Amino acid sequence: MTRVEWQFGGWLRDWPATAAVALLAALAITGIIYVVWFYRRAPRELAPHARWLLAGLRAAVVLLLLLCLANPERVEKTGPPKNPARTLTVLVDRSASMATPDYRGGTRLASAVRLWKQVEPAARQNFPSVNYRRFANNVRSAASLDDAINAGAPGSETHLFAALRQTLAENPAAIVCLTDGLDTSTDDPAQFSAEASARGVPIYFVPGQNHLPPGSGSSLELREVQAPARVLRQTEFTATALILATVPQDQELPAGLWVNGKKTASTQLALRVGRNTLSWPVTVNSGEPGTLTLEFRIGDQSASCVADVIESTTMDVLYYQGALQWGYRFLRGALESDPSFRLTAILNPALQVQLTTANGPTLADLPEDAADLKRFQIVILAHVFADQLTAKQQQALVDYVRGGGGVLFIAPDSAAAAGFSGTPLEEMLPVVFAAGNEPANSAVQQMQYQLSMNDQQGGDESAEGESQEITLKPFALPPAAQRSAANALFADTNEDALPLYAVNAKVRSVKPGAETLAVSGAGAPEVLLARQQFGNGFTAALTTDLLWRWELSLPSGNHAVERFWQQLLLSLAPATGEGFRVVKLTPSPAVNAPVLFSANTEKAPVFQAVSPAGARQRLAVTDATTADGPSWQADFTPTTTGRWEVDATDSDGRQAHVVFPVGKKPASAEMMNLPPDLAGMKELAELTGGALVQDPTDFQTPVEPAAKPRAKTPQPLWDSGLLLLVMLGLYATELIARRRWKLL
Amino acid sequence: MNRTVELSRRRFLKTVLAGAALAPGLTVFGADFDHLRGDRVGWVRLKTSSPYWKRHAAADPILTKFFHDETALNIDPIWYAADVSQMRELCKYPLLFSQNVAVVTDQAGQDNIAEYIRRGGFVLVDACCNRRVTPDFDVFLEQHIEFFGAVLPESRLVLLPPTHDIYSSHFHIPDSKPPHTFDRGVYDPHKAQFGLYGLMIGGRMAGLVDLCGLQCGWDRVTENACVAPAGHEVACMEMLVNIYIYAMMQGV
Repeated sequence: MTRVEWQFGGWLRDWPATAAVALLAALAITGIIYVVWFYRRAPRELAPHARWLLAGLRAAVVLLLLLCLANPERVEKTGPPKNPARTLTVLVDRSASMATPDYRGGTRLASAVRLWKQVEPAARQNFPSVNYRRFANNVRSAASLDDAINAGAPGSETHLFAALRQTLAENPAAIVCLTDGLDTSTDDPAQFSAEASARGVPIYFVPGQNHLPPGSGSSLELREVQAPARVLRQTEFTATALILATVPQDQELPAGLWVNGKKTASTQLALRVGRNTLSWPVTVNSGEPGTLTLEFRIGDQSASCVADVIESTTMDVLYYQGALQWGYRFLRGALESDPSFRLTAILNPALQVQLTTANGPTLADLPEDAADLKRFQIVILAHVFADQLTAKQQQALVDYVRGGGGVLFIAPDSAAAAGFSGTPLEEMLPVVFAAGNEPANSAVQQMQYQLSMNDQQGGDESAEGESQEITLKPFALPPAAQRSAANALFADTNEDALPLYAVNAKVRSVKPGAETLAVSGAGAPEVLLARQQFGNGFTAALTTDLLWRWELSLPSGNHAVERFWQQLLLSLAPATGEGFRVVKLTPSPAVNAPVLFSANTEKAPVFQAVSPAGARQRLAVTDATTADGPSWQADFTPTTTGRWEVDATDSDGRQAHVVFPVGKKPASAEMMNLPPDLAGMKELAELTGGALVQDPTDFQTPVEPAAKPRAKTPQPLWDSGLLLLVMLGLYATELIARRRWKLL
Repeated sequence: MNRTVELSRRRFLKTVLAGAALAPGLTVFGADFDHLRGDRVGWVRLKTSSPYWKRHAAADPILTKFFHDETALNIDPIWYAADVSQMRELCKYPLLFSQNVAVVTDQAGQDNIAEYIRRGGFVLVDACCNRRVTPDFDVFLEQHIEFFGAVLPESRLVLLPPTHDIYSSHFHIPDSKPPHTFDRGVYDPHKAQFGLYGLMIGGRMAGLVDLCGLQCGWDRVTENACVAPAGHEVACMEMLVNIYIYAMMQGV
C-alpha cells in the first residue's frame, strides 16, 4: 500500500513546516498585493477585464516562482496492507500426522483444538469476524471449527507453506494455524518466511502435540548442485550443494566434494530432528584453464556439474559519481592497467561538468531500466546522494543486482550515506549506515565554510603556507575472517600493503548474511568493506574515500592499488551463467513411477539412465527452454529399486550426472512420527508479529501492522521542464497582452 | 504623466526571446552545491628555491572562494605549501600549483616531481606575467619542454587545440582562448598568442603549462596586484576552474 506525502525541499526542508508555509504565504500575499497595485497604477486606462487578466497572469508567474523556491518534493511511503474488516482466519491442519494417535489415544489435532478453545475468547475480542479453513494437500473452506476438524479424511501430505501462502493472499488481519508445523512438500521454508514477513500479517501457531514414539525412516534429497559456467584462471569461486533432509532425530550427514575425481573438501552436516533445508557452499580454486567437473556426494546420493576455466574475460564497469572529487582519476588509472576492464563513467548532471568521451556517446545519466544496465558486470556508485537517484533509478539497480549484477557502493560521508535510509538501494546493501553526525545540510556546511573564511580573513593564518594535516589510516582484516572467494581480495597481501584511507562513513551494523571484508586498523574496529549476495548478484559497501591518497603514497612501481581495485571488482562480478548440470525434478523416485530430469545446455544433450545392475538406456530428449535460459528434459520409469544414475553428455563431450535411490514407494515424512517443529513455528510466528500460542496470554491484541514505511523516496518536482514552460507561457502571454493594450 | 514606452516590434520580440532564454536561469535557485561536495582537498603551491614561488599566494583564498561558490568542489579556503624536496608533502595533494618548475634543478626535487606525476598527481604551472619574474615567455616555455623531457622522458608537452574539453569542462571560455594578464596592463600581442600546453603521458594529461598569468589575474589584493580590466579576475579563475576540473575528471 503506497501513500504519497509532500515536503518542502532545498533550503526550506530544514524549517518547521508552519514557518515555511507562513513565509511562503507572506511572500505570496506581498507579491499579489504588489501586482494588483502595479496594474492599478498602469499608465494607460485599462478596462477592468484587461486589468484583472494582466494582474492574474503576473500573479500566476509570481506564485509559480514561489513554488519553484519552495521546491516541493513528493515522498512515497510504502506500508504493509491493512485489513479494515479485521477478519481472523483459522487454518486447521488435517494431515495424517495430526490424526495419528499416541499410546494414550491422543492426537495432535485434539491437542491443538483443546488449546485453541482456551485462547479463542481472547482472540474473538479482537476480531469480529472469523473464517475457517482446513488443509492437508489442498486448502478447503469450512463452515465452522467443527466442520474444519471433522469433514473429510486425513490427507497424505502436509502442504503447510502453500496453505499459509494461499490464506495470506486473502489478506486477513491475522491467521491462527492449528498444526504440528511439519511441511512435507518441497516448498522452501526460507523463501516462504521472506514472503510472510513482507506481508506483515501476524501468524499465530497453535501447536498440536502428543507422545508418538520416533519413527525409523528418513528422507534425503540432493536437490541441486551449482557452480558458475565460466571462471577465470587462478581465482576462487563457490560451488554449492542444496540439500533437503527429513530425519526423526538429530544426526550428522557426511558430505564431500570431488573436483576432477580428487577429493577436495568434506564435512559432516548437522541435521536436526524434522525437516532440514541446507546449502553447503565450498570455495574452489579454479587452477589453470580447462574443464572442472565438480561432484558432490551427500549420503548415498551424488550429483555433478561442469565449469570451464578460462584465461581472461572482459569486464564492463559503469561508474557513477555524485560528488566532485579526485577518486575517479585514480580509480580509472588503476583499472586502465588491465585492458580487460572497460570503464564507462557518468557524472551527476548537477555537478555541471561538461566533458566529451573519447569512446563516443555514452550514458547521460544512470538508466531507469535494469535492461539498460545489463551490459555492465559491475556498477560503481561513488559518493552519491540519495536525492540524486530517482526511485526508478534505484529500482533499476535493485532489479539489476537481483538479476545477477554487482553493485559497489562507495560512501565516505556519513550524512550522505544515512540519506539512503529506507530507500530500495539501502535494502540491498550489506550494511546499515549510522545517522550522520557530520553537517548534513547545506546551511550548516555553508556556515562552517563561512566561519573558516572569516577566521582566515581575520588574520588566523596559522596553517597558511604550511602543510595540510592529513592522517592516513590503515585497513585491517576482520578478526576470524572466513575464507571465501571474497576474502581472496587480501589473500596474498601483507599488512603493509593493505589500503590506506583518510575519511570514512560510520556503519551502524552489518546485515545478517553479509560478510565483513575489512575493518579499520586503528582504534575501535569500524567496518570499511562488506559484501553480501542479493538475489543472484552481489552488493558491496566501501565506506571510505576512493583511496586516491593511498595511491599517491605508494611508489609508482607498486601495483597494490591496481590489484585491490581489480580483485574487488572481480569478487563482485556475476558468475557467468550456471555450469552444465543435471537436475532431478521428481522428488523421492519410486519403482514404476516416471522420473523427470533437466539439463542446461544450448544444444540437446544425450541422456542415459544406468540401472543398479549397470544396464544403460538412452532417453528421449525434449526442448523445455524458457526465458530464464536453455533447458532440455528427459524422463524414464525405473523398473527396480536401488541406486540409479542418469548421465547427460553435451555437444562438447562434457558429462554431468546425478545418482539417486529408487524405493518401492515415494518416501514421505508424513508418517515418520516426526516431533512437532515448535522451533520452526515459533521463528516464523515471531517473524510475522505473531506468536507460538501456549496459553491465553500469548494471544495478545495484535498490533496494527507496523506503521513505519518500507520505502521513502523524495522526488523533487519543481525543476520540471513543463513547469518552466508554463511559467514562460504565462509570462509571454502577459507580454503579448501588454503589447495588445499598449502598455509596451 | 504618460509612462507608455514606444517599443518596436523587433524590440518586443527580443524581449520575449530574452525571457525564454533566461527562464532556464531559474534553475540557479536549485543549484545547491553544498549538498554535493565530496571529500575535502587543499589548494597547494609548490615550494621551490625560487623567491617567487608564493608571489600571489595571499590572493589564493579569492580563488578557493570562487571554487566554493561556483563548483561542488570541497576545497579548503586557505592555501597550503608543499616543499618539492619532501615527497610525503607532495603526495597529500592531487594537484600542485607552481609558478615555475624549471627552476627545480636539484636531482632530488626533479625526481620527486617525476615520481609524483607517475603516481597519478597533476602539476599545473602558471607563468607570472611580471617581466621581472618571467623575462621571456618563449624561453619559459622552452625551459619547461626541456625540463619535462629530461625528468619525465615518457611525457610530451603539446599545445591543446581550441576544441579541447578544457575550454568547456565547466565554464565556456570565449573563443577557446585562455585569458592573459599583461605586465602593468600593457597588451602584448605575442604573449596573447600562447595557448595552454598539456603534459601528456600517453592519452592521459598529467600536467599543464600556461603562460597566461592566471594567478596574477585574480590577485587584486596583494602588493603584486595586477592592472587589468574589470571582470578579468573572473575570467582567469574560470579558466583555472576548467583546468582543475579537467585534471580531476578527464576520461569521463
